[in-house]
Amino acid sequence: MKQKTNCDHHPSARWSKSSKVVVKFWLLLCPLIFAGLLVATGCSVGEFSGSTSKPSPGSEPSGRLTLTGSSTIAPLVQEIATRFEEEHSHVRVDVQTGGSSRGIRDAKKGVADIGMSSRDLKPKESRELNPTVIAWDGVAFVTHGDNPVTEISKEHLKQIYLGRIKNWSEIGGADERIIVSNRAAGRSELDLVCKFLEIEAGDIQADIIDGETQQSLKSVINNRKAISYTSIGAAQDAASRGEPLKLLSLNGVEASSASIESGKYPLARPLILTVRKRGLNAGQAKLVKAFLKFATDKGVADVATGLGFVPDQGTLMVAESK
Amino acid sequence: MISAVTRDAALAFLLRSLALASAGIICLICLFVARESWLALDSTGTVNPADTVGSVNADGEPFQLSNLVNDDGWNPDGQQFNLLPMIVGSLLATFGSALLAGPLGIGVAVFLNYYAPKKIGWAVRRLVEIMAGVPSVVYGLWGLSVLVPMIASLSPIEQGQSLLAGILILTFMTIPTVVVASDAAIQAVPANQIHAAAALGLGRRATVWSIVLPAARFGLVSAIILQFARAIGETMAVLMVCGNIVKMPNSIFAPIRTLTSNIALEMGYADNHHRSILFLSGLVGLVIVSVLMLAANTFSKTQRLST
Repeated sequence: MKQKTNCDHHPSARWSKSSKVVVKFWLLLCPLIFAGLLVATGCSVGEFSGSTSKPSPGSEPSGRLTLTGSSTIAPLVQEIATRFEEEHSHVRVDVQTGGSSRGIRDAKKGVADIGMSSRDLKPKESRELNPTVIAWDGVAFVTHGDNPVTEISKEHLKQIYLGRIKNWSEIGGADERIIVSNRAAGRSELDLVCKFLEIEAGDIQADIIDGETQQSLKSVINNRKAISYTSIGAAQDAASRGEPLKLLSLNGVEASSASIESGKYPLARPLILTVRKRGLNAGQAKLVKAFLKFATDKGVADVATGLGFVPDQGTLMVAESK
Repeated sequence: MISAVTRDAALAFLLRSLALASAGIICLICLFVARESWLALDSTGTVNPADTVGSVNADGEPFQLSNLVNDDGWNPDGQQFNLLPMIVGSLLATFGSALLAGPLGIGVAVFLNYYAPKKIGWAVRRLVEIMAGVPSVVYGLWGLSVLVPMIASLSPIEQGQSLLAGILILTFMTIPTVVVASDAAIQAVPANQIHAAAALGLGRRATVWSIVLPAARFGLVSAIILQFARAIGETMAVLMVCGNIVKMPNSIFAPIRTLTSNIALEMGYADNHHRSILFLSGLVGLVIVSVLMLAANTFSKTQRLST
């Protein structure tokens, strides 16, 4: 008891009063920290499935849809998803990015209901997955706006990317070194370009490796000697905002959404939604089907057009890189 | 009414468990990274000789730990996983920034304490605090739009994305760390030593050089260590300005890729073995930082004992 009175007269008495508040604060915080700990370890370890909804008996679709994958297609799907949610108030759609390969992997494993991919499925992948094309995009080779070169051939590109042509003057430009910008491993643009130029990714002699689309645009905008390749939609968008950027004609075909639509542009790629062939429960399958139908409907075609993509009307014939 | 003793005990218990929790989180992170790199480690055959899933390289040989330094390059699709150029890139960028940010930051701290007029000192301190709070991606954007074109106009290879750009960006990013830590170290120098110096008629320069800096040297070393840790872990800004070519740099203008930006570039796109190797490279980074920290700590401890 003596101790208590002691304490009350002690200068720290005021502190110990407020320390009660501190203790309460920490008492609240402690479980939070531990919960965070659990999430940090458990979340990525366990199979954190997005398809946890229970189907309601009515005909109106409800539940939760998870889409993961390509960052090229994500803005398009996000916009479509927003409209889908407006029409079906009981549905929540989650769109997460992380590359085509992740989208395909997640769809296969069932981590996501739908995977987004900006490249065709490989034969091995299409054994387990059903693709649905929702729009078309192309890959354009781009240079700085001041570069006098306006078109390029497949053969020249091949020589440039293999490091055999090193100066712009060799292909009709100024006497300047060519700064070759490439994309990081796993990007669907890299796969597509390698397939088109018939070279191995490991043989490319690059000066810069960019990750995301915007970074590759910056590399070209900031250096008059650089060449890069990127999504036509994104490049057109940047050029129309007045950035010093030029899309090179490829084999004499203008790099534009119009060329993709006419089927003449050789470096077109489908934007795909993929779904597991087996393993979806009935309710979830119904929801997925409704979403795919909505995404390929003519009513949302304007979303794709607005983003510089070409909506898929089913009849479109696109020249594969044959 | 709870007695003060009980309250104290409760508080001590809470603080102890919080300290344990934060240490525990670090351990769990290490365990998680190790677990994820297990696929790569496992396939070396040291754990289970029969099990070499998806890890056979182009020549049909199973993956070995020595591949991380012996492979021809970094080409995940071709099962080539040489980490050495990236380890060197990380270390060069970090040491370079330490060489610049260390003296600069300590200089600013000395200026703040012994030379700056009150108002200017106040303004500089606030500025440094703001600098510390700027997100790294903003530094990266600035570097990409301003620094990189500037270096491109100076560089013999006419390209801005380079080791130099990385060093400069890291320097700007880590100066606040050095300033704040060495400011604290300088302020911790006992006032009576300063007074004694003044009584002996020492000028400002002599006081700083022969009293303050020697007395604060351990704090200054910790400031550099903090800077180092911050710089080697930096990812986003470095990814944006370094060019990310996996190759041993032959000059300060050559592009590099650091361990951290490699993980950031490829993790979202990696699968199976490749993904596991990326985690393994994270583990390698963790080991490098731990070794450097331990070395720095032992160094300053032996220094302290010898004085």
